[in-house]
Amino acid sequence: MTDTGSLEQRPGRPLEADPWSTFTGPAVAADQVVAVTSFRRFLRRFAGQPMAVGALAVLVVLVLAAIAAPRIAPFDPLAQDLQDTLQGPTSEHWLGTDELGRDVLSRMLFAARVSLVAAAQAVLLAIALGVLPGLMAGFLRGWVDAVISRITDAVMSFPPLLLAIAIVGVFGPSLTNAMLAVGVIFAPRFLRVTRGAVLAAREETFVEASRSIGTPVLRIIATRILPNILSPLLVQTSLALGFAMLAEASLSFLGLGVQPPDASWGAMIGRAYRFLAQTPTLVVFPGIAIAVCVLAFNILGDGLRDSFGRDTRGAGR
Amino acid sequence: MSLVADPTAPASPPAAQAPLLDVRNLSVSFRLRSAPFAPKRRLRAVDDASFTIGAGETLGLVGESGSGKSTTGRGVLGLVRADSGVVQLAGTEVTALRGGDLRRFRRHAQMVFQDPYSSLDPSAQVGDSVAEPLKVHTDLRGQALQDRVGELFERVGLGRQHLRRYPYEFSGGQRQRIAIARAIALRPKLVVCDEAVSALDVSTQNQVINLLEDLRDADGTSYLFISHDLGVVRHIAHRVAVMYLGRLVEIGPTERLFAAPAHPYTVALLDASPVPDPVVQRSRTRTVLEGDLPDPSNPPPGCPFSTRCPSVMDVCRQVMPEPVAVAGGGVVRCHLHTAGGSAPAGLVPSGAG
Repeated sequence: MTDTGSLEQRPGRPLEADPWSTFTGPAVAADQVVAVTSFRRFLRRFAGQPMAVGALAVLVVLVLAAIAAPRIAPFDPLAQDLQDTLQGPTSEHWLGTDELGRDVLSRMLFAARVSLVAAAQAVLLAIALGVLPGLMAGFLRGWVDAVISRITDAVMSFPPLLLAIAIVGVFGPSLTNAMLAVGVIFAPRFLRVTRGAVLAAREETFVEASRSIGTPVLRIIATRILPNILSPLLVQTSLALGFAMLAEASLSFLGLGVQPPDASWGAMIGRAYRFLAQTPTLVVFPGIAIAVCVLAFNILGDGLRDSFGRDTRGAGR
Repeated sequence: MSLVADPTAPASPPAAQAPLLDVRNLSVSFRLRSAPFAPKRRLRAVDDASFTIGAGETLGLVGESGSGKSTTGRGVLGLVRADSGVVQLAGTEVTALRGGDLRRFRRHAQMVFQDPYSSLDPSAQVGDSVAEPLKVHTDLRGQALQDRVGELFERVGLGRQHLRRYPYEFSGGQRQRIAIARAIALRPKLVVCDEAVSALDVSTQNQVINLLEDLRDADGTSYLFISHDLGVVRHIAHRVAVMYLGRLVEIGPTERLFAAPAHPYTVALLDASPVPDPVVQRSRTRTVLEGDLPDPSNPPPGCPFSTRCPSVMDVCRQVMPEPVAVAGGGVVRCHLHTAGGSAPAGLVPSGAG
């Protein structure tokens, strides 16, 4: 590597001979005037993922349909027509009718409200219960971390469904209680994700740089730690929404969630599986709805992770 | 940047009155994490370090990896708690400050870190990172704040149009200049540069060092310049301190220390740096150290360097040498320069050497 004849390195040669020593000008070649804000950068990266955009579109359509259910539903979801029960799809009832002759499409539209709201409730509760202790455990460490982590371990060691049944058993069967149970079950996941991300972030040099500047601790957490743990939290939120929807379906299927005559997709399957031999479509359509919705949340979560993640030279486009 | 004899070496520092930074007998140790209930062990990262830095002066701090250089810098800033000893900056006793007082005091002493890729928050615009010390310690807000940050960017050779970009959009040298802009935002009296140019390539090192020198000349900032690169230290530092296993073994004016090193470890350190002249390099007789740094959690008794010193004497293994003044300026801790206990001549190496 070393060229023995290299004159550049001879002793006594002044450093000023180095052409860079007097370099003072701006060194970025392209001076774009348009500032790329973090949100625009996020949008640009998100738009580059067709699957995630598709998943978001599906979810938006679902939410809009749920909101507009009273206006777009072709029938009253509770109106019975006992002469017209257990039908497959017809031109009048697009998705058929159930055992009481109620229109399945209308019921599914209203059930979407229940399922989405229930999932959101559970996840919000999980975030409320999980994120703050996770932040504290990760940032303070020591005995605070030990206590919080052991409690988390204890909650996680319960079989989730049993815990849910126990909570519903104590407070009585209702959708809110079921979602309370699901929220408690999911809280430790948020706690662990938060704690892990904070543990990693607090060791970063830029956090020490903030400490050396003299920035107050709460401000360091708000401006340096939180933005850097946002992406795993968002991913976890999206995934948890999917799981919460599944959990709600399971509990409602067992009769522990939404109570008749209201319905969620899970409850519809729970009632319909008894008529599987006569009208299989009764199970299939709500099942498809659940599957599509959970899948969309998962794909959206992956897409968020890839586009909200920290920018590195490789990932930034 | 290398061991070039440097005609542009910094002139002598301004006449010293009371030193800006006065570190006396600073010791920092860390508790080693082992299994629960196991006996606690402590690692003495810095042991009994004393030095001063005058206003506008640059003290180079050199030593091997793991010798405690960075911990010394962090101890000076109060980022790690000192076990004992006193750090005074401009008359304020940093080691006595706690909590909010220490936090507010930080505006007077800032730090530039080694790795410019991790010292800037990747999720924040660089303008916000540079504005952080101003937001914390001053009332500047809004347009006035933006103007000040813009000035800082221009001072370090970047433009205002870069304020709203993200760290990944910059090269290593540019990021380090942004980190320097952040460090000088409050016009601190002291800046600790922890291996501030070690992660940069050589041409970029020159830019950053010239920038640091310009800022020193303009603002009278003092630097504690931590580096393992002797060439860089020789260029920028007025005085140099040499650290080995948490101990300051020699300190002195740069010219004297490089021309006539007094401690055998300094000699070995200088010998380990290549001279950029093949003729000279081939003809050098070099002292090459054997072995590695001893385990710092279990340091040898007596002089820490006694396990590797080519001139080791019996007394070295038992007694830590006291500081002795060196002709030409500075202080050395070595029995070769003391009366040396049982070895009165002091310069006779033991047979084992």
